[in-house]
Formats: sequence, structure tokens, C-alpha cells
Amino acid sequence: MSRNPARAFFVNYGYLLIALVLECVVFEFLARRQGIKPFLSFDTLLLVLNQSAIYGVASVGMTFVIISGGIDLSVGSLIAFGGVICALITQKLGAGWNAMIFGWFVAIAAGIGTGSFSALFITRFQIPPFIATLAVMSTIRGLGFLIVEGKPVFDVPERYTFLGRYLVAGIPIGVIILIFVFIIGGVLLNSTRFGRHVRAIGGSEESARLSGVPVDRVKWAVYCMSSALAVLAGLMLSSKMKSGDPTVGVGDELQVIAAVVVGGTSLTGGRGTIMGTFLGLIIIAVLATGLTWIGMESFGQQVILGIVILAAVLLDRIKRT
Amino acid sequence: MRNLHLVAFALLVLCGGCSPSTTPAPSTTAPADSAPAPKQKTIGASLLTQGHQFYRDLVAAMEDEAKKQGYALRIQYAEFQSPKQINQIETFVQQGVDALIVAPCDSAGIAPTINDAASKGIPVFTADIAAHNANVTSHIASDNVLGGKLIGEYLAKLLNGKGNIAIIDNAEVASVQERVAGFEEALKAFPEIKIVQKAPGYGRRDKAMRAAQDVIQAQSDLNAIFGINDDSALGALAALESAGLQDKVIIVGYDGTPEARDTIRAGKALKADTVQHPEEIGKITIQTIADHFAGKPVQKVVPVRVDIIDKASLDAEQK
Amino acid sequence: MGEFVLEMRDVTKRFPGVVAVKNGNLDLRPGEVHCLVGENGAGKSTLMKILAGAQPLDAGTIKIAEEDVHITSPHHAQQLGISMIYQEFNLSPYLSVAENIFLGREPRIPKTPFINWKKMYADAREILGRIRVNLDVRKPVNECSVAQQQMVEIAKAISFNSKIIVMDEPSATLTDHELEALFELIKTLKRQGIGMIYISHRLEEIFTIGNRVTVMRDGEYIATKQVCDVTREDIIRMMVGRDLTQEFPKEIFPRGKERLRVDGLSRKGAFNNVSLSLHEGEIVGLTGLVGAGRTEVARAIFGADAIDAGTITLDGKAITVKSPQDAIRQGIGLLTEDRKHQGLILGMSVRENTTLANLRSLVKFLFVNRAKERQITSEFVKELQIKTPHIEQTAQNLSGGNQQKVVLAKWLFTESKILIFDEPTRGIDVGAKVEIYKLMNELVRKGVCILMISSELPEVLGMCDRILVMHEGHIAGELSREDATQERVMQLATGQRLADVA
Repeated sequence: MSRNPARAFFVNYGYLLIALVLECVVFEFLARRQGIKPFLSFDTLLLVLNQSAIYGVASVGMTFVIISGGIDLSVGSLIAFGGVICALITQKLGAGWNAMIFGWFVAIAAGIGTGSFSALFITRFQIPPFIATLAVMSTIRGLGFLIVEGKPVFDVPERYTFLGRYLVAGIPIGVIILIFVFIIGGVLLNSTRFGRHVRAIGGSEESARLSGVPVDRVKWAVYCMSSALAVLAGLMLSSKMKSGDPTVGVGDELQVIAAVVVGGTSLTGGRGTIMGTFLGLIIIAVLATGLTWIGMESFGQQVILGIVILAAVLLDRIKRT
Repeated sequence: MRNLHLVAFALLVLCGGCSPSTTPAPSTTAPADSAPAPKQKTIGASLLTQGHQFYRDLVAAMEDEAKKQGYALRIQYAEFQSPKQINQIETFVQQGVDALIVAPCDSAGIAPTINDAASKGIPVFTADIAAHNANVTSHIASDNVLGGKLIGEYLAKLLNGKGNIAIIDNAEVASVQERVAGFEEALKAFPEIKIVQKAPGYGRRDKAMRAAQDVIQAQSDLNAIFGINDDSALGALAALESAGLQDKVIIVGYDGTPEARDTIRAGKALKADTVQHPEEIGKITIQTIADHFAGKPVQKVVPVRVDIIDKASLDAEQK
Repeated sequence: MGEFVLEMRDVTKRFPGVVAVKNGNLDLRPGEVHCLVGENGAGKSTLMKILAGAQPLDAGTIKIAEEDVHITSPHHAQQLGISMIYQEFNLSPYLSVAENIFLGREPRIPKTPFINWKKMYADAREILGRIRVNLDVRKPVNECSVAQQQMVEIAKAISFNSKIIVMDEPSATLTDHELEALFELIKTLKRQGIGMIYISHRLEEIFTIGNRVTVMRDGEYIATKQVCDVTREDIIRMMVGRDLTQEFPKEIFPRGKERLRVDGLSRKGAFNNVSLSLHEGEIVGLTGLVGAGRTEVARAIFGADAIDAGTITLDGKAITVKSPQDAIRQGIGLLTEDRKHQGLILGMSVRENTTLANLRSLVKFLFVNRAKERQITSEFVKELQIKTPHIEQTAQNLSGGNQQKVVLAKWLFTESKILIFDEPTRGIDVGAKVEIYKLMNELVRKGVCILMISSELPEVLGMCDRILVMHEGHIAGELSREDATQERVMQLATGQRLADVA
């Protein structure tokens, strides 16, 4: 509506920005009252970004899936699976860079394969995405355990921590990947035919099909993207832990969905933005880091996270009406 | 729509309002009688879980001791999620705590994070569970070798220095390896006692029961079973009872869970357990950190005492 | 004149920035059918929402049975004896007819929480009997036809002892046969002294069943007349506020070469051995009763449904159309009957809807050229006179006619050679209808072939050069513009032979 981009930005994301600022102010206030190190600083910003990198990368894929009217529950399992595959390959093939990079590619390829598998059931056999990806979630979790017989793989070379711990000009590689993935995701959704098609399918699949949108192909791409990004998230986590652990990531899909929903993406599809997901992600990450910062234990954190999700979704609803 | 506004606002106020009230304010927990330090030392702890009694006892003792020493203690629980634990430790590091206590969810996966903290000059202490290949200042945990040794000696006494023993094992876990090593070491002094078989029970009751059944089949003249934890011991007990051998074979276990205690007290085939002392672990952890702060050298591994319980000691305890 | 069951006087409703209804007047006598007409946005639905208790009024009075009332909620309206029958039914699909009628008020076996099924079925039968409807009360509603579901809604209203029943476009989804049954039912209700407010776009219905008619325009009350005192033209004039020179502005163009030819098209269970051809310069009508297979033929030509047999030839070349994508690539477009679910992405803007089917042409290096997209959309908005505040308006906020224009813009942008219009004017008000017809003329002038599916005979007779009539899945006959009359079309549509056509 408005030609003024700054104003349009505020109209769309004002509530999220206010929530974010409010959060920061509250944590800063509480930190000062407790007499501990101030919360707000560039280092904390980096910390928050770094800690949200893993969910963040996966949430970009999830945003596409949800906007297309679907859901992907296999994300958490793929996070574990990706790490396990890469760690196993790196361990087996020796210490060189090549082994690890080969491991990345194999893991990502496995992710794309998994996404294709989900998409096959969702498009060809018309299985609801919830069911299809629920089945894949279980299958992939089990496969992850099977290929390493349930035990984490940890005898990998030091450089395995490249994705999770290396710095470029003082910025963690994870943060760079995060920002890169968000920019690519935003451009894809906003400026390409693919993005338009994703939103059209979520808005009305039948209308989209009758307008010549290649619905099955677009859905396939969306689930592949989500799975591949979940694997990338898994590689980053695995690198951070310098091991491939088949037990990690249980329930992570819900954390990822939370970020997407707080960002204003509609679970019924058709409506949502990458920028919203980014803000949703940061709001949740600041909350987690901030609550730890001021010393709240994890059960209390869960309660507050739940309340914040409710409040965000409610505010979004008010905005729409 | 007005109503929605109100609800949303109320929610925000609610979460804004409840955070400070549940927050421990460490500055007020510092007791007046502590030495007037220029700056209060802060310790960050990221522990396995809040759900187990073991950790609740450990934390209570830690908090007591920290109060005594005048430290601010900030505790987080990772609830078995290693990524969460990594985030907690990173946040502590960013806050500039003076020492870290970690009870790892994933002994291997936590190592890079611990090393990262150590490289920034923050000493890291592991409590109860060790980290693999990590730059840890000191590891404070139950003395599993001693625990195995004590229960071995106890069992040898029960058997009058003679008999055949099977172990329901879980050989992949480091602490179990230590227990079994101690156990075997104790039995070296009794040449007439033989360990005839080690069967994998994976520390789980159903699998332990199956393993024990196999052992009973294979060893006709079995006298005793050592279960490396209480689930293994109770699984073995179930196997014995279903084979009708509960009066011929005796069992010793490890951990002293409430169920195991009840079983021992009831005079079943399970005769004794090794018990750990989480409160000691908590207390000694803080004391070790205090020693480190004071510039004293600390041991790489600080073993914490363990004890044997049997029917007699439990009955005495009840009175 | 003291016998009104309902009097709404000077009712006004304001929304931020707009007056939705200004001084609305409506009264109702027992046993009367009072038609409420007006173009979309005239304020009819707002007035009815006020009556149903869904919207509070800002000014004015409502009297029910001579008493001033203040309707606070839909529940309250129901208690006052007001029932609404909307186009979209409020029925629970998997429950039986009887369960739906008594939903929330199930008769219980005394002093127990259990439903007294016997009594419920008997009561349901009694109510259906009162309105002379023969329907199995144990049948799940989703197995009933649309018309039967409507009957269930009406039975439900009767069971509340409603004295006032509002019917919003009850005829929109009914076949002619079913419509007759509805009119019979309305007559029965009239005899029982129930007052009905009847909203419809089909003006001929007013003359069939209406006693009085009230016209609204732009939120304002225009007039209330006895139906016997006015003509169709009078009503249209009051609705649009000016004279419509022509309801069907048909232009005849010279018939050119054949563009599309369909031979022996069959789809099991839908239609059989359908052949037709479209020539340049003509609009071909495809009509028949609902369920005759017209929409299915259109979908098959468009590639939306698979065919079992038959060929499609475009400009002399046989083509295979396996998906809508194929059809669009070949220059075939389909304006679906259900605009909201099959034509538009309601949550998307006018701009995004306009370009959706031909986005490819706007892509440069992977990116959609927004500036060009805006420019093109603006041109279409201007050309088709789409009434929208701006091109970023979401489609769901447009009126039916303007939504249809957006769908049309989408197909114009694909530069389709063949356009299939399925019920292009359904639910669209009179003024906008004429605009759509004019646009069709414009398209034909530019060489586009049009196949128009419609149930509205006046429209088919008024706009088409040739008329194909379907009956039970096959083409029962073809009539030229000159030969076609309502009677002949109906004869073919109902499976009779044409006695008097050579």
C-alpha cells in the first residue's frame, strides 16, 4: 500500500519489533538489577545469532513448507541424521578436508532424497503432510540410530568444528551461514516465480493448479529445500559438538515451527514472510539467552516461551483484523 | 477486538512480571560472614536434569557450600539436550563467570564447548559425569572403582570365599567399566571365586532379565550375580524368581534406588547395593573450585566415597 | 397496517470510513415473501446481519410483533423467531438429518443424559411433514443433495418456531427442478403464516414468488413496491440508479475459421462422446441442467481432469492436454465457476492474481520484474474498470464482479486464444454483468473464441451465437441463435426430442 519502504516495514513487523525491543529492555533492566554483566552488547548479539543459527537455518525451509500449506515434522530427525552421516564419513575417510566436504555433500544429498520421499507421498499419494512427515520423522530417526548402532561418532579431526566454531573476521561461520540462508530465502520467496508459486499453492491449491502452477513440482522443491536445510542445520550442530549424535534434535521441529509462527506465518498457508521468521527466531533466541542470563531455570523458561508464543500469535491476529 | 488487545497485553505483563520474581538474586545470597572479596566470584553450572532425586540432592549441597564460600551460583539444567547445554555454557562464558560446573548430557559432544571455555581462561569442572577428551580442571564423581571393590568384597564374604559369579554388564559405559574393574580386583584375593560369565544387560531391566535367563541356562552351578546397576540387578532377580532359583543364587547391585532398597529390606535374593553420595559430590565440587581459586593444586580426578547398604544397615537406618 | 411481524425503521450502520446502511427500512407481514434486491455492496447483507444479531446497529428501531427489540446476539435473534438460511449451510456433514435439525436441543430420555432417538426421529419426521418434504431422517447430511440440505436448514428454522425466515440467495446452487420444489415449499410456509425475506440476484424469481420488493442501492433504502406494480426494468433501474440501455449488449461478428475442435471426448462417469467446435468471431453457449456434465467437459478440455477417449484439435493440429499448464501453453484459459476456490488466490493481491498464470513472461534472471508487473496490472485495472483502491488490495476484499474481472485479467494476460467461461456472471450484480458481456464482445472482436457455460437461459440466449445443450453427459442438441428459445433449450436439457425443429 505504502510506497515508503520504512513505513511498510513497520506496518508489517511493528509488533515483532516492539516485542523484541521490549524483551531486550526487560533483560537489560533485570541484569542491571541483579548487578551482573549488562545484557545488551555486540557480543551478546553475536551470541544470540550464533545460538539461533541451527534453528534458523531450518526455519527458512519450514517457512516455505508452511506457506505452501504443509508442515514438515521430520526436521528434528534430519538434524540428527545429517550430523551422523557426515561424522561417520569423516571418521571413515580420514583426516583430510576432502573427507569432510564429501561428508557434507553426501548428507545434503541424503536430505534432498528424504525430502523427495516425503514429497512423493504428499503429492502422488495425497497423504497429508502431517502424516507423511511424521512417518519420515520416525524412519529417519531410526535410520540415524541404525547406521551408528546407537552410539555417537566422535573421533573426528579437529577441523570438523569448521561449520560450528570457526570465525571469519570475528564472526562465527554459523552466523554467516544463517544470514546467507535468510537472504537467499527472502529473495526466493519475494522475488522469484518459485516463491510466488509457493504462496499461491498455500492460498488455494486448486486455484493455483488451474492457473497453470506446477503444483507437484513446487511442493517437491519445497520439501527438498526444508530437508536439505534441516540437514545443513544438523551439520552445523554436529560440527559444534564435534560428533555425530543420533539422539540430538528430538522435538526441534516444534521449536522451528514456533519461530515461523511467531513471525506471523499462517499455519493454514498462503501468508508469511522470511523477515517475519527471522524476527520470530530472534525473539525466541533472545528470550532463551536472556532468561538463562538472568538465571531462570529451564522449566520456567518453557512456561515463558509458551506465553510469548501465545502473545505473539494473538498480536498477529489483532493486526489482521 | 478490544478483548484480544487486553488478553495480549495481560500475557505480556504476565511474562514480564513473573521473570524477576522467580529469579534468584545472587547478590542477596552472599552471606555477611564471607570474606570481603573485592568481587564476588560467580560459578555457572549446567547440569543433566532437574528431574532426578540424585541431582536435587547434589544441587542442594552445592548451593549450601557455595553460600558458605560466598560464591554466586547460577544453575541451569539441560534436561538431556546437549545443544541446550552448549547454549547454556556459551551464555555463561559470555557473562564472564569465574568457573563452570558441567554434568554433561553427551560426554563427547560437549568437549569442544568445554575446551572453548577453557581456552578463554575459565576453569571447567565436571561433576558426576565425565567429558571425553576435554580440557577439564577437575572431575568430581563417585569412586566407581572403590564401589565395585566394596561390593566385590561384600559378596566374597557372603559366599564364604567360594563360588561362581556372573556379571550382568554394560561394558560400553565408562563408569560401568570402572565398577567392574574394582569388582574384579576385589575378587583377586579369593582364588576359589570364579567369574564364569559376563552377559550384556545394557543397564535396562528387560534386557538384563533376558541376559540373566541365558546365564542361568548356561551355568548350572551358579552362586551369585552382580548387576552393574539396580535395573540389571532387579532384572536378574526377576529371572531367578521365574526359574525358581531365588534361594540358590544371590545378587548384589549398584545405586541403591528406592525399589532396590525395598527389595533388600524385604529379604529377597538381592542382598546388597553400593550407594553413591550426591550431596558429597556437590559439596566437594564447590570445595575443589574454592581450592582452585585459592591457587592450590587440585587433582584431575576427585573420587567421592561410596558405601554398601544391606538389610542390616537399612533396618538400622529405619530405627 | 398493524399486522407486521417485523419492522425495521431508519436502521443505520457505520463502519470506520463508510456508512454501510443508511436509513434502511424493511417490514414483513405474516405469510408474505418480501424480496430484498440490490447490487453487491448495496447494504442488503449488512441489514440482514443486523437482523440476525451479528452486527449491532448505530441508529434506528427494530420491532418484532409490535414490540421494540434490541437484538444482542445470533442466539437472541433465534429466540425472537428469526432464522437465517445462508448460501453456505450450517450443517454438520456426518450427522443425520434429524440430528442436524435438533443439534444442541436433542430430546433426552427423562432424567438421563441419553438421547431419545425414537422421539427425535418422530419429531423430525413431523417437522418435515409439515413442510411437505419427503426425506429419510436418518440419512447423513453429506449424502443429501444441495437442495435437500437446504430443506434441512428450513426444517431446522421451523423447529425453532421461527416466524421470520431470511433466505440469502437460496436459488444460486439449485437446478431448475429443485428450484420448483423450493418455491412449493415457500408457498407452504406462506400458508402457515411465516414471513420470508428473500434475497436473490435472479429478478425473474421475484415475479414468481414475491409479494413485495424492496430495493437498496449504495447502502441506501430506495423503495418498497408491490411486485405486481413493477416491471423487471423498473427494478433494474432502481438497483443501478440509471437506465440500462441493454441487458445483453450482444454484437454479432462474422464467423471466421475453426480454431478449436473436440471430437468424441469421454470421461467415465462424467460425460460421453462430446464433440464441439469453436470458430473465430463467435460465442458458443454450453448449457443444460446442473449435473449434466458441462463443467466436467470444460475441465477436461483445460486438462484439469483426465479424459478416457477423444481428441482435441487446435488450429488444425492435434494437441495433448494433460494438465492446466499444457492448456495454458496452448493458449486455452478457463474461468472457473467457483471464483473463490478455483479462480483466485483470495489472500493474494490484485497484482499477484493478475499475473499468476503468465508469470513466466515477467521473469528476468530468475527474478519477477515487479515494476513491469505493476504497470501491466494497472493497465488491466484501467481497461477492465476494476474497482479497487490500489493494485495491492487483496482479492478477497473485492466485490464479486470485480473479482471476476481480476480472473478475466489473468486470462487476458496469458493472451489465450480460447477462453472457457463457466458461469461467468453467477453472484454478480446486474451492472457488472453487462460490463462482463461487453468485455466478451471485445474479446471476440480481437479474435478470441469463447465457450460460455451457463445455467441462466436469458444470458445464454442473449449472448451466444450457437447453443449446445447437454443432457446426462452427452450433447443433446445444438441450436442456432435464431432457432433458440427457452422452451427448446429446456426440452433438450430434460432429454425430450425437439418436435418442431427441422
